Amino acid sequence: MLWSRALILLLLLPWTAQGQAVPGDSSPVWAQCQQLSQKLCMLAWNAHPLMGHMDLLGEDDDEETTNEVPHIQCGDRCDPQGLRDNSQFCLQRIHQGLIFYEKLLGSDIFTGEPALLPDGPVSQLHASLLGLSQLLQPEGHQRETQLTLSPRPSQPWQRLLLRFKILRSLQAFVAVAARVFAYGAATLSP
Amino acid sequence: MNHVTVQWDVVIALYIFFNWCHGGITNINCSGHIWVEPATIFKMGMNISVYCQAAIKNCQPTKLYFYKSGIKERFQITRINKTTARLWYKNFTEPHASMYCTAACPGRSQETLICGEDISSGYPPDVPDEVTCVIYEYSGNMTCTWKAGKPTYINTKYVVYVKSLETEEEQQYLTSGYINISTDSLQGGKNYLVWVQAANALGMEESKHLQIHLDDIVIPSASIISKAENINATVPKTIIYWNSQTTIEKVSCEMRYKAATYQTWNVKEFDTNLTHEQQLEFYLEPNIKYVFQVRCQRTGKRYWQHWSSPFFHKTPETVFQVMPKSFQHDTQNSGLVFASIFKGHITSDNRQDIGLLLGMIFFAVILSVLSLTGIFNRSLRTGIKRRILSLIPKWLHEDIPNIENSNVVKMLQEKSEFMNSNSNEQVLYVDPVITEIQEIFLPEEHKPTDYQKEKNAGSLESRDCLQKSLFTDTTVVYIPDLNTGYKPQISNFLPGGNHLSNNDETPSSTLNPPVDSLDLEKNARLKKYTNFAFSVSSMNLLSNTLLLEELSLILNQGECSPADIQNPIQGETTMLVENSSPNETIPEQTLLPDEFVSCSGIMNEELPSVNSYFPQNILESHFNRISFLEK
Repeated sequence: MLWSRALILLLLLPWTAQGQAVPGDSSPVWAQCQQLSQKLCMLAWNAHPLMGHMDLLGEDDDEETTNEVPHIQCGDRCDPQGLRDNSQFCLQRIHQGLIFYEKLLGSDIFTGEPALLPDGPVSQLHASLLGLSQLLQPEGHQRETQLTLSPRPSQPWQRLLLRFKILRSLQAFVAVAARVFAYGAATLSP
Repeated sequence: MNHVTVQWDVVIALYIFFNWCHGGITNINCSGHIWVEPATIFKMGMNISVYCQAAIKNCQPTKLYFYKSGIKERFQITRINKTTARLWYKNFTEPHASMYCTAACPGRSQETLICGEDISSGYPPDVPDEVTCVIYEYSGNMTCTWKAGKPTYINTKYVVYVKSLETEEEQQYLTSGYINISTDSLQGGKNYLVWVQAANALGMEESKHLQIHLDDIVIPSASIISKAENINATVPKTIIYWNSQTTIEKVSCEMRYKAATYQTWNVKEFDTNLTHEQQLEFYLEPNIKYVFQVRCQRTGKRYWQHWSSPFFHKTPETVFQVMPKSFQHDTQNSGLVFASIFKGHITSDNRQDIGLLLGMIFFAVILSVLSLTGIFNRSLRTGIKRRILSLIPKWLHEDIPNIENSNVVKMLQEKSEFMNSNSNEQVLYVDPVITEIQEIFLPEEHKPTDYQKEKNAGSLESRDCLQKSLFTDTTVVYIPDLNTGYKPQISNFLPGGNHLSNNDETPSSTLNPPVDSLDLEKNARLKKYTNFAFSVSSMNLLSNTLLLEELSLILNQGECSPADIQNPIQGETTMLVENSSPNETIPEQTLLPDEFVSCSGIMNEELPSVNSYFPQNILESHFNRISFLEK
């Protein structure tokens, strides 16, 4: 029985570490992060209208699905006091979210049919997400990302709607992230 | 109990893990059903119906909406019952489309997704044609290709059947295009039957059966032209070296060559043995860049190699062109031995070339002899001159051309008494005469009737007009000197366009020549201007009045203003502008259509503030409200 429990704990360790661990004391380059996050805001906002003239679709389980994507919430200590105390918790959460959306934008939801422009806003958004996530990745330190796997294959008609949902969620995420970096650049930069 | 707890922990962990990987953000949940009749894949151009049936909890849909590729459909929607609606398409020709439908529920601000479906239209496959199987030497594969016919637009699969004629064993290979079949898998002897079956959702077709023998379909390994060499012999020549790695001894080859800038190839055909390096000798034109290509096939077989890569070679400046010859290099004897067999047509072509060359040389010699004889023999020269003078018209060799000798002028004299009455007047084409042009009054009925039409004529016609006007202007027109004799006619400036003769009926009616006499009614003005270029002293046929009236008409047409004429260079550009009505907008001046000018809209959507803190879910609901307001 103990062996089983130990094995489970071992299995759960990476997930726990990813969600809770603080990766060292290294601070990001706040100014660069602020600049890139603001660019992300612009790109996310610009990419959305290109998805077509689509109305926002409300689904029955919308509230349920909302809780399944990475959100920056009060418990993530992204408020000013939390950032002053230890910004690593908040940065860890932002990093997870960036990786999550970066994987989605690279999935067949955005790369499959109907095809998007190769150098369009979504493509730039994808590259910028990767850039910001790398800025938050201290050299020599591997933040846990292997939990973010590729989503299941989708059909073309679903992709139209999924792109819409993902970009709307991403807009909210990067808006909060940009606010965090704006505060950090103003008050926490050495 | 502990065991259950552990299992529960694992389930929770896996659930969290799964949701994190495949969050709901990547899921679409249907609240109903959508289907297409007759099918989701159908023949292009058919009429189709898309049905949508809602099954939403706590919702009786007030309205059902259809979207095609993200665009809301507005027409041809029929509500069948409380939960179902139908969208009808006539003659649907899009290869692919993504459909989904939504419902408007009472009390909900946003539409609720019901479900979606991808639809495709296309054609059943054509019968696969021209099935070909070859074995490229050393490839280890039998490559089979075929012509698929017209595009089907939908997923179409091909099955290649290979059946041994000796063992009756049949193999099938599935592909979407050509197929490479390993020769190792062809263990049923040398003789096979091959055919191709094409199939998609709309139909299936099968090709004719192709019988092959594996030895007959081998294509020798690629031939490569390695180098070219210029030989400075008494007759300079160019030698092309090429080879192939093939082990096939008896091959038939073709080498084609041409000047790089030409389109037509010269082809040499010959049989050879590719076990040695090959040479081909050419006698080419000097200082020209040539391109060479070679290909071979097993002698007596069907399939050729692809042409080798183009090999370019520029001949030196002193090389002369003669017939090409072919040699096979015998490395053991280190000499050049004829080994290739020329086809007959090449030899006959070269004989023709030599005959032509000899004929030209002979003709040149004869011509030279005759010329020298004529130069040095005065009596002969005088005789020839008299003979020529007796044959050509008299007016042609007069020192001063007399217009009276012209048949055309004689004809005009007979037909126009009015002209004759004025023919004795000597018209001097000098500046004061042109001044009188501007003072001539034109009767109303003689004014151009299709003036507006001509203003819209193309720029080419305007340019002709300008040239005519320039010609009529005294500052530009060429007046031959009375003592210089014959001058070239300049009637080319007046092509006798209909717009001129149509505007003025008086001269043509006055002249009124027979229709069969050079069609003067159409070309009357052309004839007059032809005379206009003759010596003025001999122009006793055309009247000053007539000519001036025509000139005046041209000026009064308004096509070309005097200002245009005074400055020919500026006049041309001015004419182009004046061609269009001043009241109309000038299309040529509008470089971009209006929609291109005004379509560059700028997105002024306000970005969310990044100054104050608030949780992300508040932000998302804020965005949702924005989206609703946008609707």
